[in-house]
This record gives sequence, structure tokens and C-alpha cells, in this order.
Amino acid sequence: MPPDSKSDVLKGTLEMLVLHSLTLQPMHGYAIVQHIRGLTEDALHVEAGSLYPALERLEKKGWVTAKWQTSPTGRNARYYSITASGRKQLGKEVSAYERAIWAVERVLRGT
Amino acid sequence: MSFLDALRYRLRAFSRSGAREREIADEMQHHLDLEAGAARSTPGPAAESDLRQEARRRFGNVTYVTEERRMISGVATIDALRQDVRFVSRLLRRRAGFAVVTVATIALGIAAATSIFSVADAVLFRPLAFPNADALITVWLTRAQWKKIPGLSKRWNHGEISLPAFRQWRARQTSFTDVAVWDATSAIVGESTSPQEMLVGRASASLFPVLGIQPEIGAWFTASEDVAAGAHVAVVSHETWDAQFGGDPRVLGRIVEINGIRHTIIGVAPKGLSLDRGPTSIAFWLPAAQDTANANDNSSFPFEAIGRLKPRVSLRSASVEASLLLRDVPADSRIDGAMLARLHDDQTRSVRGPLLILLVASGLLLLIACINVATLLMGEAVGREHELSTRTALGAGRGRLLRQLLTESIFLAGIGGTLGAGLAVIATRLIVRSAPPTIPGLNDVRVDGRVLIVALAAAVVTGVLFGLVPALSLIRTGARSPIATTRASLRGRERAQRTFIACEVALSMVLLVAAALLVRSFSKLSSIGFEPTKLFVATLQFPRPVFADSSTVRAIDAEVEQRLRASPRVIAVGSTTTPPFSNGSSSTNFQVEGRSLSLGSPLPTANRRTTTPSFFATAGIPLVSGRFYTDDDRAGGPLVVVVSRALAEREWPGESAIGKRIRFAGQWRTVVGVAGDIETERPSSDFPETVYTPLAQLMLRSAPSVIVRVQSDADDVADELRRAVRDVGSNVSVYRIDSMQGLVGEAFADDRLRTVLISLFAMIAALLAAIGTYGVASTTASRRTREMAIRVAVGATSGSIARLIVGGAAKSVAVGAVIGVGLALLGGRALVPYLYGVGTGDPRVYAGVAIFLGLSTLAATWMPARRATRVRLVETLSSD
Repeated sequence: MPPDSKSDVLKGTLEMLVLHSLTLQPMHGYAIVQHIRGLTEDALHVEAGSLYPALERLEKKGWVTAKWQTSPTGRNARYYSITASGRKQLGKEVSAYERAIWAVERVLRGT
Repeated sequence: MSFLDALRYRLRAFSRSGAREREIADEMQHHLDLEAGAARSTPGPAAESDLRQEARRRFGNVTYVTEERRMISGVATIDALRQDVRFVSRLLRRRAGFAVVTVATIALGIAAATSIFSVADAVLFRPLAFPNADALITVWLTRAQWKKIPGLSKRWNHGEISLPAFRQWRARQTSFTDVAVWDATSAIVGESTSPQEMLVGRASASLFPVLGIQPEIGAWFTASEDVAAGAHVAVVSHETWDAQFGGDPRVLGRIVEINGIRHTIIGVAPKGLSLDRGPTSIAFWLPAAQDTANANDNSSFPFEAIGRLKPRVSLRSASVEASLLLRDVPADSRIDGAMLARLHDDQTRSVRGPLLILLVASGLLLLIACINVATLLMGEAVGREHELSTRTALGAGRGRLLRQLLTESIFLAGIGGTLGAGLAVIATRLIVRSAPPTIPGLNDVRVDGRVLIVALAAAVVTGVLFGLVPALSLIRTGARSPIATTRASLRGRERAQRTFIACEVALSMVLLVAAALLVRSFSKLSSIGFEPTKLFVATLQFPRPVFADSSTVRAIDAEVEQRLRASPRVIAVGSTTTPPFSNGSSSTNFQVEGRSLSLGSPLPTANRRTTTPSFFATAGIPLVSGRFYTDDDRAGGPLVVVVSRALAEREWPGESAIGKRIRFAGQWRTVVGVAGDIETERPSSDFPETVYTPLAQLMLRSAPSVIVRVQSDADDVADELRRAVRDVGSNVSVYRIDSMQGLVGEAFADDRLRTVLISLFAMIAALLAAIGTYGVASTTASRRTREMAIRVAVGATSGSIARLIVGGAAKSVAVGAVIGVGLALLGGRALVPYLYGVGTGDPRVYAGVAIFLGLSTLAATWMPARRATRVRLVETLSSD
């Protein structure tokens, strides 16, 4: 099943959202999905099919680390946490994103 | 630390790819479980299976995600690697014979070529360690007259120079920026209480400037020191400085006694200095002009000359000038010119030819190995024809098949190349160890990375190239209908294989002939006319004043002989000047009674040896006619001489030599006996002609050596001999003891090494050719299985079937052999200088090699032929 077109918009920002979510506390994959979903009141639906490859990429780049921990429900889950270089990267991405949004808004307002 | 994190991530992926994979699966499962749990809490269908399905639906494609994660994490790459390894190990297991033979073929070819190239590289191709070494020229005097004189013929254009002649030449020459001379002699170094025998060099002050080198510390001597009355200065070699003075820079100014004269050390020579590229052997350098024995002697020619050619002066014009200037040496009218050669060429003169021959031989072997690999891959391809065409028919991509076939041959080549490289390192070490130490540059021999990389690349290229041809033809075939074309393509492949075999056989024929010639030559070479085992040579050192009086020398020698004879393990003792294989020779002109002297032709010459009567029995030299001299042939009695058989046959052909008289050293002597011929050095032509005179009847100019035959070759023989001589007293001591077998072995070392290496190459080549022949016969057998089965069914005897198979392969071998004979006859000429007593066209050699090839062909085709005779029609027909 190919990823649906709705989430294409998210592709560039998914990693940023994941990194940002992890600044609050270490989370497992399902929790990240729920977290983003809750904050955006279901407007943003992160597909597991996009999330896990993204986590894999982040881990490979060294921006997040993962380890197995017991979850509050007593199950073993793989918890991801953000690293120092991940935080730095997040800063860069957020400012780049804000610049882009600012520019897009200027164009849309057309003043 | 993102780099370290990344590294750790990757390492973990590599080291625990299995665990990583499980981890991914677990994490996915966890997510699915949570998803299912969430679905359960919402209203709707509550069946467990429905919940799971809903979870999966929400999650997306689990397999896709897992696969993507595997790709990103690198687990997939490792998987592919593992697949390759699995594939290759399956290949090795299923077709172990093919794999082992291919790998061994490549390894042997690479090892032979790499090790010989490593030696040749160091000895022949690596430049000398001097700046602009190409301009360094050695200058030798020539005496064309010597060409005809046995014993001297090898040295006719390698005459050393005298110091007065050098001075004159140096003052007048214009071709060189400067010229220099040097020589090396052994000298007594140190106080008289603890003297040491060391090699001392004598050089003109111009030597270091000519070579373009500087002392490591201190100074080289100057022209003002290089005069007869100059200060006694010495330059110590770096190695002696380290060994004797602990590398202490305060060595400058120290006094060292050399041959009883106190010399002040003024400098340390650069490390590894050696003019003949051997190990540094000269311990001290002294000014040549202070060499009192030779400095002003016109007739003494101890020095080697070397010059640095001026830029833009050709070697040829320098030769012309040097010939003109050096021709007029008043003391030696036979000197007729000069021979100039680049230092590097001069050093490698005697080893260049043999090494190039070895290089060619190892190259041939590598070529044979490559052809053999191609033959093997071809044969192997035949066996897989069916499998591959079936796979193509079932839809396997051509690219995939091609990749698989190439992976296989590259892998085999890689393993073979790696093994070959390892083997080359060992082989190179063995060659260096068994090579005569006189080969220049032997110390620098190593298999360097460069050579190894080239060898490995050669192996892989061979694999790809020879793997590609059969692979491509397979792919082509595979595209067509498998069953219809198999037999046709088999025939084509068989033709290619037969061509390969003919080439292989032709090339191995060349190597086999070369090896057989060398072996025959070597066996003749090593018959030296006496028995070298259990024979020892003790070189005695007499106190100097003794030489004034021959009778004292004789008395001491007699005493030594007597003491040694009393030793329980000694069987026989004798004395002789210049013992055989001891690098010494003494020759004399002689005059035959009744033969008129003519001005034009020079007097005949002979080697000369002065011995005690027991020398002949001790060495084991047989008596041909007459008698050996005895203790009764003493001083004052009639003067007698024993001549060698070669001399007797040359001077008195067809008649008895006994009773004839010859004159040398100013005295007429009567020939009383003819002795058997012996070799005294590595022979280049016939046995040397020799005259033997009794020690009792001749004034000695050199100390006799004692030869001793013992009962057993134990290690302590030397000690026992030393002890016996020490008991004599009278200041006589043993300078050195050598086993004759060792001396003979050294003299033949390079012959042996050459013979062994070429024989080894030839044997490997023959083996490879046999393997190739086996491959061809197998192909024939499998191609014609059906035909054979039908023949058997209609009553062909198994003998006629076997003949068909053997005959098919034998035809290619025969074609190859005929071509090989032609090549060997052509190439054999290169061996002429290294053959002794055997012609390059020796029919026995060729016959022997042909029989050998015939037998090996029979052996190689036996198995496939037997297989062919056992085919059953029903099985064969039902197998397709």
C-alpha cells in the first residue's frame, strides 16, 4: 500500500514533529502517534508506515537513541529519546520551517 | 558526538543484524497490540480477530514498513552479503573438486610470478641507492689475450687497475666529473692481544664525491690525506660503528689499530654503504695511497675503478677515451683497452640472464595457469548448461545469471589470488634463503604491497575475463531452447577447450624441456672428480716471519698433519695450496721439453697445486697412470711432477705422459704420474688442467691448507681439528674450517636454485596441463554420452570406446607438443650459457619429455574414458 498523498505534505516536517515530541519526554512509537494526534485534535494523522522508517533514519543520523524499557502498562516497549545533536537539528529545522511559513504567508496575503 | 553515534549504530547493525531484525519485529508487534487495545475500547465489533484486523488496517503495510526499516538500517545489505557467502559455500560444497583445482591453479600461478618478480625487482630493476646513479660507471681493463686462457677467460674484460695507472688516467681524462678507485682486503684490526679479522676498504679520496655521498658524521678523507705520507685516518662503517662503538658520536678521534698501524677515526660512513649491494661488509675505509704494498707498484692491479660520467657525455665516447688512456700500462703489455659499464649493469651482469629466464618461466607458468582456469570454467559451464537454460526458461533474468557466474569466478580468483599472495611471501623467503649470497640486492628482496596489489588485480582480471567468455556463451545459449542447442554449443566449447589444451601443452613443453636440460646439466656439473663428503678444509695461519724459510713451514705442516692423523675420528690428512672450491687459484705458464718456443703463441698454462703425498688419497683423486709422489721425493732428489689427465691429453695426445719433462718456476721436472681430473670451482668449460708438485720440493709462496677426511660429519669435528692444531704450538693457528660439501654446495648454489625453480615450475605446468586434458576428456565424454551408449548397445567394445575418448584428447596434446618442441628449440638458446655438457637439442631430453607427456595424457584421460565405457543406453536416453 503506497503512503497516501495527504501525508506527503508531512514528509519534510514529520522528522521535525517527532524530534519536537521527544523533547517533552522519551516515548515509544505508538505514543508519538497518539501525542501528535492529540495535540492537533486528529487533524494530523501520522501513519505508522511513515513513522517507523522516519525513526529509523533519525536513529541512524544519531539524533535519537532508543532503548527497551517497561511501559506504565507493564509491557516492554522501545523508547526513543532525543540526543544533543538531535536538539540542535530540531532548532535548525524549526527556524527553517518558520522562515518558510513566513514567506508563504507573505505570498498568500499578497500585500 | 553524532559521528560516534552513527558509527555505533552501524556497528550494532553489523554485529547483531539478527537481533536488530527481531527488535524491529518486536516493536511492530508492540505497536499493533496497542492499536488493537485502542480499538477494543471503542464501541463496535469486539471479536479478537476483528480487532487485530482493524489494528493492521490502521497501521498500514507491516511487511512494507519492516522492509523499509531493514533497508535504512543496513540489515538488508548484510543480508545480501550473507546470501553471497551462502551461495559461495554452497558452490564450494557442491563442486569442491572444481573449486579447489581452480583456486590452486590461480594460487600457484600468482605465487610463482609474484615471488620471482619480487626477486627480479629488487635485484635488477630497483635503482641504486646513490644520487643520480645512472651516471656511475665502472671501468675495467681488458686483456684480449686472456680470452683463450682457461681460468682467466672469464676475467679478460674485468681487469682491475693499479694505483699509478689510476693517477695518470685521472690527471688526463675528461669524460668524467671525477674518477675513483677502491678495493677490499682482510686485515687484522685491534690490539695484538685481541686481534680481529675484518674487511678493510682502501679508497681514493675521490670515492665519496664520485658516489655522491657524505659521511653520516665527521668527514671523509681529503686529497691531502690520501698520500703516502698522509695522516693515518680511517672512516668507520655505520654498522661497525654500531657494533663496536655503540653508535657513540664521540668515536671521532678514537684510535684504531689496523694491521699494526694506529689510525684516527675521522668519520662514519652512511648506513648500508655497499658498492656491490651485498650486506655492508667493509668495516673501515683507509686512504688508498697509504696502502704501502700497492701504492707505487705498477704491476699490482688490485683496485676497482669507478667514475661519474659528465652530463651529455656518452658511454661510448667515454669508453674510447678510457681505452686510449689506460692502454699504455708499462708493467703489463697485455692490457689493450678498457671496458666501461653502468654500475648497476655491471653488478647485475652475472645474474641478469638467469633471472630473466626465471622471470620468463614464471610468466609462462602464470599464462598456463590462466589458460587452465579458462579451460576449467569452460568445462564447468558444460555441466551447468542444463541448469542455467532451465532457469532462463523459467524466467531468471540474464543479468542475474551473468552476475552470479561472474561473482563465482571473481570469488574463486580472489581466494586464489589471496592464497597465491600468501604463498608468494613464503616462496620469496625460501628463494632468498637458498640463493647464493653473492647475488646483489638480495637483502632488499621483499614482496611489497605494490607487487601484491598487481598480483591480486591480475587474479581478479583473469577471473573476470575468463569467467566472462563462458558466462556470455551460456547466457546466449540459455536464451534459446535448452534441449535443442545443448549439444551444438557443447561442440563449440569443446573446440575452444581443445585449443586451450594445445596452448597449455605447448607452453609446458617449453618449461619441461628447459627443466630436463638443466637437470641433466646439473647432474653432469656436480660430478667433480672427488668425494666432498666428510672432507674438511682447515686454512692455517702461520706467523709471518716463517715464510722466509720454507723448511719451517714444511716442518710445521708435517707436525700438524701428524697431530691430526692421531685424532681418532680422522681417516686421512693431506696438505695442499689453493684447495678446491676455496676461491683461490694459482696458475703457471710451463714449457714442454723438446718443443720450440715461438714468439707468437703464448706458453701453455695450468693450475698449480703444491701438496703433500697424502693429498691425493685424502681427497680421493684416482691415479690414472704412473705413480703419485711419495715421501721419498724430497728436496735435493730428482724433481718430479704429477699432471692431471686433461693436461696429459692436451700436451701428449695419444702417448704416455710418464717420463716427459716440463719446466715451470725456473725448474725442469719429470712427470711421474697422471691424476684423475677434478673440478676446483664451478666449471664453465672442461676440467682445468693442473700440475701437482710435492711440497717438499718447492719454495712456498702461500701457506698450505690441510684437508682432513673424517669418519662422521658431526658438528664438533671443527672443534676437534682446532684443538689438534693448537697443540702444535709454534704460533700456528686455524684461520677457518670449512666442510668441502658446504664449499661445493656454495659453488653450485645458483645452478641448483635455477634448476630447482625451473623444475618446480615445469612440474606445476605439467600438472596443470594434465588437469586441463582431464577437463577436455570429460567434456568429450559427456557430450558424446548418448553416442557412446548407442555404440555400446550395438556391440562396441569398451576398449574402442576408451580409445575414442583418449584419442580425442591425445590429438590436442600431440598438436601442442609439436608446437612446444618448436618453441623449446627456439627458446632453448637462451639457456646455452647455463648448460654444461648437454646440447639444447639433446634428443634424449626431448624423447623423455614426450614420453612423460604421453603418460600424463593417458593418466588424465583414464577416468573419463572409463566413465564413458560404463554408460547404459536406457539410463542415458531417459535422462534427457
